[in-house]
Amino acid sequence: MRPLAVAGVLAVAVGLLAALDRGVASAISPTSTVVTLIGVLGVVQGIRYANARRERRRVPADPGDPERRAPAAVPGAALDERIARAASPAPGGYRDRRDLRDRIREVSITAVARDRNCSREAAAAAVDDGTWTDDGAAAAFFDTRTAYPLRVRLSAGVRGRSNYWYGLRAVIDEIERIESRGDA
Amino acid sequence: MSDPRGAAVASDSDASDRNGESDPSADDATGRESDATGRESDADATESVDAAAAESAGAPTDRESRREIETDRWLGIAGAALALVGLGVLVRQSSLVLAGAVGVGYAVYARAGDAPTPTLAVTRSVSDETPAPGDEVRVTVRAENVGEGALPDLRLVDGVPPGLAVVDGPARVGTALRPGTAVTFEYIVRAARGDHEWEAMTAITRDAAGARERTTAFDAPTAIACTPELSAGGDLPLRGLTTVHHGRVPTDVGGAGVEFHATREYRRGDPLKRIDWNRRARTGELSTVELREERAATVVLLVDARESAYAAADPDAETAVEASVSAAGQAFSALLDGGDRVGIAALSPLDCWLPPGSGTVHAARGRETLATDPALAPTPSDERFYRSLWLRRFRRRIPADAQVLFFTPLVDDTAASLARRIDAHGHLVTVLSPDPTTTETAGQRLTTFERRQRLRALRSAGIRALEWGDDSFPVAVAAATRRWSR
Amino acid sequence: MSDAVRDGERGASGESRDDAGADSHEIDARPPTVAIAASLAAAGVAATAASVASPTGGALLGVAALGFLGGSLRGSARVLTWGAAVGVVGLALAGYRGAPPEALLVAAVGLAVAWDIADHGVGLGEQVGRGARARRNVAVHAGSGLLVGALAAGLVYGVTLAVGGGQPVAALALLLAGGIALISALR
Repeated sequence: MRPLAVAGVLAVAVGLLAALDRGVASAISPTSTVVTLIGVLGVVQGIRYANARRERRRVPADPGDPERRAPAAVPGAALDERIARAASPAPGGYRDRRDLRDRIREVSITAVARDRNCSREAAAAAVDDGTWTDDGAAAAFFDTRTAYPLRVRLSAGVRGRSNYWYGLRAVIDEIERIESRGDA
Repeated sequence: MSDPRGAAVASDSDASDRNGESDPSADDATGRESDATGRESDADATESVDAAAAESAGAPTDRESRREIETDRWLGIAGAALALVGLGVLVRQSSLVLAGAVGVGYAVYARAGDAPTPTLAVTRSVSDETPAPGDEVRVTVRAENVGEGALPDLRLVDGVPPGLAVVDGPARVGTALRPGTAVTFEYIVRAARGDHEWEAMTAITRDAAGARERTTAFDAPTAIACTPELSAGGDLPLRGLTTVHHGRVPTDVGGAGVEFHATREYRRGDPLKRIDWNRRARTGELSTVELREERAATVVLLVDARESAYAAADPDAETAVEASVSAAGQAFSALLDGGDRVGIAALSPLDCWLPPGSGTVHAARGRETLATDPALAPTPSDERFYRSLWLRRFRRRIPADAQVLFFTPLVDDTAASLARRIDAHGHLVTVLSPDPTTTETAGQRLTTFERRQRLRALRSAGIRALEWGDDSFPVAVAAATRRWSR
Repeated sequence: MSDAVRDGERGASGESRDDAGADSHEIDARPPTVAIAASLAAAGVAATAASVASPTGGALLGVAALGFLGGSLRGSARVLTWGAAVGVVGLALAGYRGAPPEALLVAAVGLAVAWDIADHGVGLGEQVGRGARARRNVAVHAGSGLLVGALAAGLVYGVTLAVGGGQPVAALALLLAGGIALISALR
């Protein structure tokens, strides 16, 4: 480090002298090869240093968005994040899947119990064994012994989504059908 | 550099200004072009030298340093310069060496400066400190450089209160200030219910080359209070909500009732004003109008203002808390007009309790509470909500015969179970629920189902519940009372 | 630069910045128009000066100008950097083809100023937005950048004249070698 800096200062000083005084210049007159080599070194080092800009991670201050009113929370937004986490085809997230499945199961049971005018226990049994719905994917969502229909597994494979995600969508569609039946 | 107001600026011989003038005349031409296309460039911001120093108090505003970084804007310039010089030596072209030397000049420029720490006197004024909801309030911010050094690159972003939306012009300006000069910019916010305090203004300064950046916050307190009028609640058929179990008990005793009960034969001693004079004129018989005398009901309006209640179907829409507060305001005046005693409470981490009362003074206090109580602020509080603590305090306060009108979006189980607990404690609870749900994504649909099931569960537990979404609160109340009176 | 073009670009930039949040409709985060225009003007001067000696070099600087325009409209500092890189190559080419020192100095300063204003504008757009007034800010920044370039160019040009032809290669080689050593040591 240090010797290099000293050499640099020396070279610059002599260079300046040479620029001002013809005598010094002719005394040290380097060969054409040396000059070319120095030139090449300059180009190469210059490009290397300029290349450092690629690694630049500039993070200027972000003053945010004070003009906008504080945004309201949309009900279900947090749930959507959980669903995305649970439904990602990546391994893991078992707990997320189970918690989410339990929560959706409660909603399904309540909907079925009201629709069939039966006890919660009976509704829970129907939900668990898949007889609460005609939709294969919705049935397979709660019943681990039933496999997802081939159609679902195929499109899950093709689209890179998990079976879980398709099952969840099917369950929500099914709840919607049951609920609207009750309102009619 | 064509500043319409600042003759002083134009004639100023400051170095930075001369720089501005030495810029190619293209700058001026484009400046005019931007006038034509950009809307509020000139109207909303002006810079001027305060020669008169009319209001330049000169006292620097309290500041707080936030952040200081290298922007690395010029990273690589030295390398480019070196490469050019190297190439010049390689191909024996001195002009390339000269061009490279210019790059070295910029590399030095980038290293030379330091982001200045601004010393500003910030004043902020609003056109109306107590606007009505929906009013447009013009905010004028003036920042004067009262420090010693020039600020070659100053960007100001005002701390607009989170509960207010800017409707015209960004609350920002980018400028350069020599010592003693000031910048003024304006923007317009739309007033919304509540007390709104401005947050610190952010000032971002850079050195002339822009290689270093410093963020500083300036605290210039400003506030507006927006208190909605209580709507005349005459059209709100709340009577049906409150007459059933508690409260107004129909009696046979004559009095200041309003509801017609029956007519009967005149008896000696009946007050003259209760004699049915119409019938007397028609038939000649003397008869007395029997009015149903009512005892005033005691009602507590409970507004859910926990963080979860600050919800809406769209991030930019009014939150359920706003809908609840607005509905509670209508209920408040309707019940007061009906002669009931009304109080206000908030389901919130912050304490809010207006004991039931009546009269005009009480009406004013209720209006004030609904508008500006911190517990009902337009944005959620950071405090934590402790449910059992809250319930204990609420039970201690609420009069034994009081009914509760509970305004809640019902987006979680806590609200539903609290409604049950209060009901079990012997108060008639009516749940009035603004609907903030939407059904676009899976999670939103699931949340909608859960809320609907919560409503049903409450109803099957004998708690009256009504919801309103797109239709207005009075319409929903009218529909519900028809249903309940059947 | 018609409004239609700008609006078309805006659509594209809006999409590319989706992850920045749904607030882009509130604050227009594009650079101030004055910054884009000043940058283009400087780049135009640079391209013209370079084409005196080498049409190809001038054309490359023209490409750099387009890069500055595109980077400004997209709010992308990265595109600006690529534009500047192309511009430096254009400078190198023009110098190699024997551009006179005066023309090359003007081109170099023009390129530096054009990039500087464009990049400044992008940062300004992010922090202040196009809707806010920023003309004085841009003018001061552009002015000081131009001043530095003019000073540097004047200095080296003056030194060259003073030295006067002679045999500067040896001196230059030494200066360059010293510069490389110093930069390596100080990094």
